[in-house]
Amino acid sequence: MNRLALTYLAVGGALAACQPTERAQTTPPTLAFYHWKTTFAPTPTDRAALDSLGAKTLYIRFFDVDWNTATHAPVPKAGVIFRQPPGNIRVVPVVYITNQTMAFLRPNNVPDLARQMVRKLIELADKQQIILSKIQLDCDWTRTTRHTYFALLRAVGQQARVPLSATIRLHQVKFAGQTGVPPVQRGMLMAYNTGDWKQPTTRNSILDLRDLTAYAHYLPGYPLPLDVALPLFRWTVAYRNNRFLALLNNVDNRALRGKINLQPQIDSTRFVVLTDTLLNGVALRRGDLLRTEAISAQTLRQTTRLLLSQLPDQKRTFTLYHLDSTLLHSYRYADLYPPRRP
Amino acid sequence: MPTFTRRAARRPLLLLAILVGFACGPGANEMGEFFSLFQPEAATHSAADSPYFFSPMLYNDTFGMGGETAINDSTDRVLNANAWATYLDEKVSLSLINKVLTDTSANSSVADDVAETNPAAATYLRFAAQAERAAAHGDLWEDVVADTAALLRLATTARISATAQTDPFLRERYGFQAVKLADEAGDWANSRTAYEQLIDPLPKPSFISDWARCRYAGALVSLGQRDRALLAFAQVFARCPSRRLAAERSVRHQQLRYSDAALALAKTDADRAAVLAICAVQPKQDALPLLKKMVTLDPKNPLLELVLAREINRNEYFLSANEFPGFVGEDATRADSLAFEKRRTNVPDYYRQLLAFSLETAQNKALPNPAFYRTAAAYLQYLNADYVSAEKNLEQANAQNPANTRLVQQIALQQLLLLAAQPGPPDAATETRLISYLIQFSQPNDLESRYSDGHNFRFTSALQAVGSQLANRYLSGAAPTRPTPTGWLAGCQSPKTPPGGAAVTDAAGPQQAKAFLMRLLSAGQSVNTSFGDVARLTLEDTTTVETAQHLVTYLANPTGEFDERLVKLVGMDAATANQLLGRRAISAGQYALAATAFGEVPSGIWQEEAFREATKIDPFSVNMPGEGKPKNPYSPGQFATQLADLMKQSATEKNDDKAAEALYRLGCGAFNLTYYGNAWLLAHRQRSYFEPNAYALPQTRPLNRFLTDPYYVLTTARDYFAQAAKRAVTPELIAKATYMAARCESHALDTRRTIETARLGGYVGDDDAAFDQKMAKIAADADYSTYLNQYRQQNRNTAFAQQMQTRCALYRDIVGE
Repeated sequence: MNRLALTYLAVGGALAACQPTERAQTTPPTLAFYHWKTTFAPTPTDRAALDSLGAKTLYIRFFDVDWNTATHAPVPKAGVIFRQPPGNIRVVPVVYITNQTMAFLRPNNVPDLARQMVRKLIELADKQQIILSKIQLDCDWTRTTRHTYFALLRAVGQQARVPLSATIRLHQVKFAGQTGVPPVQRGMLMAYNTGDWKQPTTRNSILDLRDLTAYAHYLPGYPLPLDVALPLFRWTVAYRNNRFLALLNNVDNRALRGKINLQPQIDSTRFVVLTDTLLNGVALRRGDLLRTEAISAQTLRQTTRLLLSQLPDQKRTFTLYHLDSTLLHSYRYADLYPPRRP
Repeated sequence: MPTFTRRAARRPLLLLAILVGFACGPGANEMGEFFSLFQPEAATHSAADSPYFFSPMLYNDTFGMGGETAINDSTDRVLNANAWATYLDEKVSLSLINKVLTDTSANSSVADDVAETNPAAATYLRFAAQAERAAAHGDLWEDVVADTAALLRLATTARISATAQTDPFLRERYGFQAVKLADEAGDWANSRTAYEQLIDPLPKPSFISDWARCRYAGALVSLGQRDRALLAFAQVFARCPSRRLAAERSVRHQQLRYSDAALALAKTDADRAAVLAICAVQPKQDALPLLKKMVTLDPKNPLLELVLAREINRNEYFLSANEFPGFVGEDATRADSLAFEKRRTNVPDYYRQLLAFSLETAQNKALPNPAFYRTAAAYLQYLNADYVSAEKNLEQANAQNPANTRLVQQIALQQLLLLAAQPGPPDAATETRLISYLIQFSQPNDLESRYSDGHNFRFTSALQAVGSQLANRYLSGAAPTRPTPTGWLAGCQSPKTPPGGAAVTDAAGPQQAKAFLMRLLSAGQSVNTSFGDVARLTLEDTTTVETAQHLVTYLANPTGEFDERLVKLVGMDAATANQLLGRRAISAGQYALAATAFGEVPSGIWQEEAFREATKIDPFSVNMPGEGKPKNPYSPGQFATQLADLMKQSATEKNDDKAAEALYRLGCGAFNLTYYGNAWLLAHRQRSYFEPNAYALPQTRPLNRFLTDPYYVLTTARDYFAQAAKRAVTPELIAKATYMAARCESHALDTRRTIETARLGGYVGDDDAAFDQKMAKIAADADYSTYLNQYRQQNRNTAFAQQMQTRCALYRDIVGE
């Protein structure tokens, strides 16, 4: 029995008492990664991770679309720069659109925006010899912006003539009646950002299984086939007097443990600053509270099992957010495989 | 057993909106917004530096309104065009030069013109046009990417030309092109070398050298030389107005932080001060240690005052939170709450350090504007409730006759704060001073003005705090003295009083009236703009009859200029005061007093749209089958008189059924004076259709008080109906009165449901079984089921019941048949 199977046996045993029975998943999920940086230059470690994990698809953020308050028009921002060609990996371009763009955009300007977006996507893809086989749009749309966003999705689909995927937040699954179901071929369920990171009362804003569980039982009724995005990122949130002070990216519990000017709290994820200090360029004062947030391998597995227990047996992709060797360093490859047959 | 149904969902939602909004008119502090009474504009600063005032946003709000486009390069173009015009001895027009520098397609022909007088300049202009074309250009959607090969080639040409060129004007520009083109091509090492070899040694560098330095700094970042890059950006920031913001933005964007290593790289005190200055205006940087060094190195540094103001404001932003935001009643967060309190009271006092610095700096003769530091010190002392020292420092600041008008204004604002913070009721002399300040800092309260450039949120916050403090002082009278607040931020704290300012007090009538007006002034400054002037109206709708009477008397008998100016400032007049008295009296069942007060209101007011619309149905009609919507024949005064007469009749009438009829009719009138009635405007001034963002509001709202307010829980009407049922002899009348009492209970339950929803954060799903169960349990309480049970048990066989059963859907909802 390999290590992976052992891991799942152990975890499965621990969870059997408190979790719903996993639905029989006869179709093995595939693994993919998000690339969410402005420069595409994967390190040898990144490449090795893709190879070792058999991840053949990269969801690469190509650019953002935001609303320019001065010109009253949507603008592309932070386009990705390819320092390396993606090579033989399948690339799915992703465009992140701010919800305020959807809020301000007039319906009669939707076709123009779709045209501009598709033209830019094709231009970027052509330069890197990327074959466009699918496009993903990422937007935290709401009840009030759904009509514009869905019109944009339809327009992009018509222009690009490739299948579309759209990211789906958990609240959009729970309140599908209000927020609607996007007119796309597949959804990418974002199984993270379950809490409000600005609130000091939040325990883990990236992913709290208790929060996720509250949403999970809405999944069976969701009408779109879903892929799943899981978080690998980690950060530390700093508060001063309960007010959000700073976000320290890629700083986790391990990085803070043992620092003499930080006092670990009983819950082991939080620290109180004992003396004024500088941490990652942020001036911290005595009394500031730091909350480290990361997703353990165990939580990843529990999340996967929880979601699979609610989703139908279909071919789906588990996409890890995001490709970065410093993040991958915290996991064994075995931790990152999506589960196969139970 | 009563049942709980989800009927009348719209009204409770509406009610929720009102309850959450009315619970208290929240101030900036309570809403978690930035609360500050110290204007950064009091610091000597240039307009270009205003982006660096502290803001919870990326940059100072006013500046940031235009987003990224707020930064434009037109200044740069003008600067460069002027330099060219001078260089060409004005032989080429400025507009032509502008065209050359901005439109590469026009370049060739213009360069030909220039070539006639200065062939070398023409060559450079042609070269610059080539460089422009090779660089990335186009619009954001259809950008043309840079031609890297061409850029590298042109960079080499630029280097060669810079070395060969003898004309210093062109030499510097070729050098700049060499740095820029290599940077754009991603050849950062050559960009750095070009700067060091071609620009750095120039004996008389112009702004073009600073532009090159900015590029060089960017290349250094790419090369990983972040300390050196920080120094270069700092030098640009300090010396080059046309690249100042670009340099600072680069530091912010690249997250270059202060380091001793960067400081060590600087060779002069000016450069060291520049490093400290650019770092001191970065977010997430405690600037006081840097500020101390800046004072030593460069006491005339133009950013010194701004950085101190920034630190004061920044500290206010973080240290104003004084309560834990979670649900403190829950086990899971109780420990957090306690730990927060412990940390809050134990944190080392950055304020104290800022105060010590301000006091010390105010005495430093090397600094040009001690008045600013005195004012800053006074403000910090005010925050610490050290009013004596604050006053002393403020006097000294004032005596120095500062030239900055905003500093003069800040001094006046602090004088107002100090005046308001004194103990005991204000005497006449204090009132005279106070009213001038209050008028000076009063802000228009309409939404448009609030979002206009001229609106000063600090003045709004100040008046809110001061109004509340003064109200407390007027009410303090013979009442026990409140403990003086201590600790930082104590200066802007105000002891909480019940809504409506109905504190127990022995204060005299005029004092109570003034206190009420001060509360109105404070509430009128509420930041809660989504509810319009809801805080002010809430105050009116919750004040006591006694206070309203004092107000009417006060308005009728002004004793001096202060009274007149205060009344005018608050926007109060006799008609409004009498309406208020009428409402409060009618709500309290003092119908004769209400009739008198309403009678004092000019009749034209009752013809205004709000009254016309909200009082057009007969206030004794309760929408029974066949009743329709009869027209209201009563003026407000007549209606109150009718109620008074009915009250009298019910007490004196010997015939039981007739007395019961009077009580029933009294009940109908009282019913219509509630939130659920058709004459609510005669009892309350505000009834809102706004849907608030209940999720964002604090969870510790005093919601319970709504459960005791007859306006929302209909206890007055219910009791009249119950008395009618008790007194009546005729079974049909008993049934009708008991049903109406049950209807009052049912509406009270609607209110309770709204409260319970608000307690859960404002939203409960339609399929929330646990909530339904909880409400069903509540519905069985005596408050909501006594008369319903009585009706079901004793009155269901009456003709009234039969008729209602077939003709009234509401009846079926309430009785459950």
